[in-house]
Amino acid sequence: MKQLLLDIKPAAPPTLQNFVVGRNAEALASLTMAISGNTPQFIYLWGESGSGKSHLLHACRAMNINVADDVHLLNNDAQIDLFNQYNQHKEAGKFIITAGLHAPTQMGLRDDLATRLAWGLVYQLHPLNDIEKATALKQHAFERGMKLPDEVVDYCLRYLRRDLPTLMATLDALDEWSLTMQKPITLPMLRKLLQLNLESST
Amino acid sequence: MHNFWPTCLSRFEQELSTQQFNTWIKPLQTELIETAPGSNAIRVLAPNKFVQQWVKDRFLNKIESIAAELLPDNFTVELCISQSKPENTEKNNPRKNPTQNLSEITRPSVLQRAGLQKASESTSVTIKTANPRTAERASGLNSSFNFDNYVTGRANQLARAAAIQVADNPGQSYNPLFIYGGVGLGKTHLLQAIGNQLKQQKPDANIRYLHAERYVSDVVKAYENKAFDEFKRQYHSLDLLLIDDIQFFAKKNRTQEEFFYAFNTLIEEKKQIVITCDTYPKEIADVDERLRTRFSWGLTVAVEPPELEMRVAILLKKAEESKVHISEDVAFFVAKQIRSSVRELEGALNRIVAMANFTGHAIDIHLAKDALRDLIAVRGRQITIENIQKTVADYYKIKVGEMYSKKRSRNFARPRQIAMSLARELTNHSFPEIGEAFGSRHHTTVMHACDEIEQLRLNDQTIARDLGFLTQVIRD
Repeated sequence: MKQLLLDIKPAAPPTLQNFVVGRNAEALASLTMAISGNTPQFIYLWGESGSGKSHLLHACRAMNINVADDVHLLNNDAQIDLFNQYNQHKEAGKFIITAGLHAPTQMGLRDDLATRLAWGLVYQLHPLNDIEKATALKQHAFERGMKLPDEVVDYCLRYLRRDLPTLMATLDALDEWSLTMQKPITLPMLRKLLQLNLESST
Repeated sequence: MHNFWPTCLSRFEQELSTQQFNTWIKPLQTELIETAPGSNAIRVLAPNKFVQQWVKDRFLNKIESIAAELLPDNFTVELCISQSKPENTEKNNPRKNPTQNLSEITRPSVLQRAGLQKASESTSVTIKTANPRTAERASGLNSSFNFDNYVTGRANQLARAAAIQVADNPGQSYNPLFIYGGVGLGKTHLLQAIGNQLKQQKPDANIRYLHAERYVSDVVKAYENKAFDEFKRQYHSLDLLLIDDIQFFAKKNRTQEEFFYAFNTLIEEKKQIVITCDTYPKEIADVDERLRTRFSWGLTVAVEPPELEMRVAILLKKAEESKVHISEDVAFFVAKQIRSSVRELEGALNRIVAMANFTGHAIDIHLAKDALRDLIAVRGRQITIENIQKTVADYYKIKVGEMYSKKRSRNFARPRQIAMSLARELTNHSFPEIGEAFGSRHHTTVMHACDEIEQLRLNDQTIARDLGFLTQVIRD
């Protein structure tokens, strides 16, 4: 019988402090400064999925800063809404952070919105390399109070898809499994988990 | 003492990744100061507050322990922000001070004639904010927009002249003044400048600047609260109505009707109306014919995209306002890259300044090139194993089929290995997935290929060059 999972620790919420910075140091610095009231008014972040946009936006939203994610998905009405928000924020001297998949003019958005995205500071976020991903995994494990052997991290980076969402989800599943089984996390456990996962998906 | 900092550098270089070392440690500078007779301090200077905090949290202990090891006891380590760094600009932004604003206006604009005046020399670097003062809120005016800081060229001189005329003789010359043009070309700046100029000449004038969407929502609110009398009183008593982006009235019938009344009332009483739009009156979609006709009663002028010299002048002007020095070379470089809108030019400048602040480097073309990359990056293709295989096969003039074939001659095996290592580097696929895509090869074959190519990259210049070239082609 499975043990009731009462003591699963939720992953720490995304913050600017636990963002694994990689090649995005200047972007993070500008965000930090903007949040502490040190100009500029608008920041637009773009990059492929897994590059850290949502992490940073969640962190900002938690600090009551206005954010808009996935601007490339906005339909015409939603684009006008965001356009209005930009105008109102500009007028009121308030700060807004937005994010999308591509550079401002490369998403087929309304010109009046695209030029506003390009107005403040624009940063491409670069995904982490394997070493930085390992750091991110270890940090995530640490925040959940997991003991994560290095060989498990190596194995993940070697045999799994290496986008952060996949890697983090695997880690969370491992944690849950180890609590259920009341066993420490080991490489055989990871293999077993992946195999079960494979069997259940076919 | 003299080998303290080199020692720090070399130890950090060994411990940290190149990326980390270049970002956090390399920009640091040191100086030796005497804090009191007989006691000295090594001052470690960070280019900005952010780096200072980062170094303090993560590296300062290490620096201190190296100091304890190498330096005499009377030395301490201080971590400061470098002096040449930007001053805190929030408090002393000159544009927030109205008297200074006035003195700025009296200076004839050399920029406008030559288009190319150097910004005043200054080491301080700032990014500007436009924080409207509370008093400005009701009128919607922002005093940082005036005619003096509106850079003029062939593209907008007519519109500017008409705007000045209207500001000097409201209700007398062109009514309404209708300004149209593409996005980000300074239409709002002109509207605001008209309002600010009139306010200066007649402080009691009842002026209102608003975006068309605001007007639409005011109509909706009046409708909900059954407060149309109040609404009419507000708008019909204005001396100057500045309304931005009138194309947003499209399909809003009630708004158009209310605006029709306001328009008639104001024009009849010789009160000035200025309208901007993204197109000329006849072309506005889904707006009542009677309004469109009225829009062209006065003067209709266009604002065209700025030509190169004007874009350069705009950059130099904006830089000067932000108290940043950029050279003409840099301004020309940026102006050539960014052609369409003034807003994007501002964005480019903001980013260049931020990068200079962050890295502590001087603003030159090299830095500008780096800074602009994120702004004007063309949307890349999705990188897949298939297009890596195709690109690599094309480059080495072999058939793409050889990527999955079992042939093991060097002519095929080496390109195949290169493609595998690029797939590992440029996609998120795992070794087994990559093996599968290369003719169901075992993942250890892929791992071996990656190791081998990595060795070749370090030792064989031809391979290193090929990899660099292929990476670029695949990314674009």
